[in-house]
Amino acid sequence: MSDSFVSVRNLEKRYGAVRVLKGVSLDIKRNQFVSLLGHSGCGKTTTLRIVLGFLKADSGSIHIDGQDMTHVSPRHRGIGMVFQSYALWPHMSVFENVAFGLRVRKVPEAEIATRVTSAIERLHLGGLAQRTPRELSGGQQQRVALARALVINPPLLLLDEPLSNLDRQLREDMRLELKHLQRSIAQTTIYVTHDQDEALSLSDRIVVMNLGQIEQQGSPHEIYFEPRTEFVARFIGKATFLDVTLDGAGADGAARLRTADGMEVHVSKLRRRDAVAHGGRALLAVRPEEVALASPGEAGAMRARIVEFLFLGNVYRYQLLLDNGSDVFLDSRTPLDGGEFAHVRFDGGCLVPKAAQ
Amino acid sequence: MTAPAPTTAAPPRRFLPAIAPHWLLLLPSALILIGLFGFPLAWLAQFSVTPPGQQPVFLGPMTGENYTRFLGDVFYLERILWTTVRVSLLSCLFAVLIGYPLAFFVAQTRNQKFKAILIAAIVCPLWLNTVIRVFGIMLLLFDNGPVVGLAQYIGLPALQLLYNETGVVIGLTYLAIPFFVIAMIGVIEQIDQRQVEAAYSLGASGPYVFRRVIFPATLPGVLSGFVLIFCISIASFAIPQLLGGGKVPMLGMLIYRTANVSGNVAFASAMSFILLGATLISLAVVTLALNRAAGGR
Ligand SMILES: Nc1ncnc2c1ncn2[C@@H]1O[C@H](COP(=O)(O)OP(=O)(O)OP(=O)(O)O)[C@@H](O)[C@H]1O
Ligand SMILES: [Mg+2]
Repeated sequence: MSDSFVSVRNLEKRYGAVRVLKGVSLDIKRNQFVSLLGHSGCGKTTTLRIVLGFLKADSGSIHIDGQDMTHVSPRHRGIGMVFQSYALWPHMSVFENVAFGLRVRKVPEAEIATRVTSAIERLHLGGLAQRTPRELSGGQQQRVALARALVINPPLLLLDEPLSNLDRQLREDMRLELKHLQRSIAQTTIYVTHDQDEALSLSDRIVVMNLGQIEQQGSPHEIYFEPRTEFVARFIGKATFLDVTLDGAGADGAARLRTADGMEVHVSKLRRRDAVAHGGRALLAVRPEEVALASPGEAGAMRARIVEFLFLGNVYRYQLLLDNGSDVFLDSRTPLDGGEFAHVRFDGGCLVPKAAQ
Repeated sequence: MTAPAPTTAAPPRRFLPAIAPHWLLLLPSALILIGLFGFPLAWLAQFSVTPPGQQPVFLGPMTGENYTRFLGDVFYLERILWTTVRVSLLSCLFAVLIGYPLAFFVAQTRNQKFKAILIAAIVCPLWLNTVIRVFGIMLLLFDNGPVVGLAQYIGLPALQLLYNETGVVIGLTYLAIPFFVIAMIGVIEQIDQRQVEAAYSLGASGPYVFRRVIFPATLPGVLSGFVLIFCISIASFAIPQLLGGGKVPMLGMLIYRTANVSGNVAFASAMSFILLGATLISLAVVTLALNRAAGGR
């Protein structure tokens, strides 16, 4: 993998008897925006701190731009870091916070002034330069932390859940802002989050972690539509899950499946059909937007009882119950007509190997 | 992107029913302070303005004579007041220089057992009576003692460590260190480790991180620790008496002698207030100087 800018190999870390990282390997291309996504406690921060150099892995290696960084001290790795708590220095003004990395590098005063000012402007902090961090809102502090890391043009930028302290509205604003910024500066970035929406909307590539291991890496589209493990399928987004065996397949991607209790299920476009051998058992995952209303006589239509719905703003999300007792989730732009039952069909779906029990 | 809308302030939290105004919480401490501190202080103030040779009467005859006697005399100002301030400042400065790294070492110690032992070792001198501790120091410092002997052995000229200012400074420094260290350990442990890491990740060296991030973060603690030990040092009378052999005239010692040996309570009271004023002025100067030092890069 010579084309990767950051290459992390087989990181192992244990605290006492607890294995926190179980062989984590990552390859990140130059200028890619990669998200580390996973439940709380799965080892995201641990991985980040090892890459940053403040934590020593028990084994494994880290290469950045072809150089072995495994034993290099943090101050010589040249990595920009935005901490979850921001970690701004309370006794320095915004300007001095941002200027810190330049002063360390003994950049001439005039150049410091221009570079700090432009970083402050770029992050919409103009007019706040002389304030101290205490006099800023959470979102402003977060942008100062970002400006402080970006002003030295680090070849690699690490962000540890930078938006998690913000309220929802601000978080979404900042998300767009970050995406815009990332595109304009084209910086290799590792972004840690446990918010799947954030990961899906920001990343070029998502790395899903679970219990100290990487479950799957891929584009947001792959992660969402072609999960390779049950964990990923259940962790990302909402889906209908059915235990099935592959029964027969058409050439156009359509497939006939049979549930464990003998019900026949048709999927017009089945992805990752090769995840299981013919006749093998698997999990069928169908996204709510792949479930469509059908007319009663239509091929592949299944009758379902309407149980509950949630108004999500852009769609109504219906929970339905198939005749065999499985839950189905359906997104509809309009409320369904009255009646106890509806007919649904699966326009798409993905096969996932069943997790070992 | 726009700045987030200001959030409305939360209503003040109430721990007492509305009928009990919150200043009632001050009552116990206010009673103690007024009864045990304010009242005696007022009495002392009356003493200090009582004309020489008269009995003090509350709000009775007043004169500034006791103050002018001290403040108008170069001997008192230079020989006594300046010596007091100088010796205290010097010993507190040494206590900070020795205590700060020590506190840092203890605060950074990971092994909790070792840490507890270190803290106990620092605190245990406080379990002993000052006079006993001072005798211990005297045993070390006297003319044929181990310290002088060692100095001679390594080729230094004969040192005089007792019954002079050096002895008093050593004693006061020794007295102040435990207080300062204990005050600083908590302060150093409170430093946000992420702030330190942020500085390193931006490429700063250890000394640079210390100067620009760690030290400023501990500065308020250094200041309050300094106030604590300075107040202890400047008012001390046993140490200048014993280690200075009476030849280092510190104000606390003089006040003690004037009141208890000469019986001139009025003059002693006036000197007490002068000592208080000197303490406050010194602390203001130190605070300003430290803040100025921290403001610069
Ligand atoms: N110093 C430590 N000693 C013992 N266990 C630790 C230590 N630091 C972390 N852990 C454990 O390691 C695991 C991974 O922690 P980590 O901080 O990497 O989680 P995370 O994925 O960042 O979670 P979050 O989303 O909550 O920040 C957790 O189970 C945690 O309890
Ligand atoms: Mg974390």
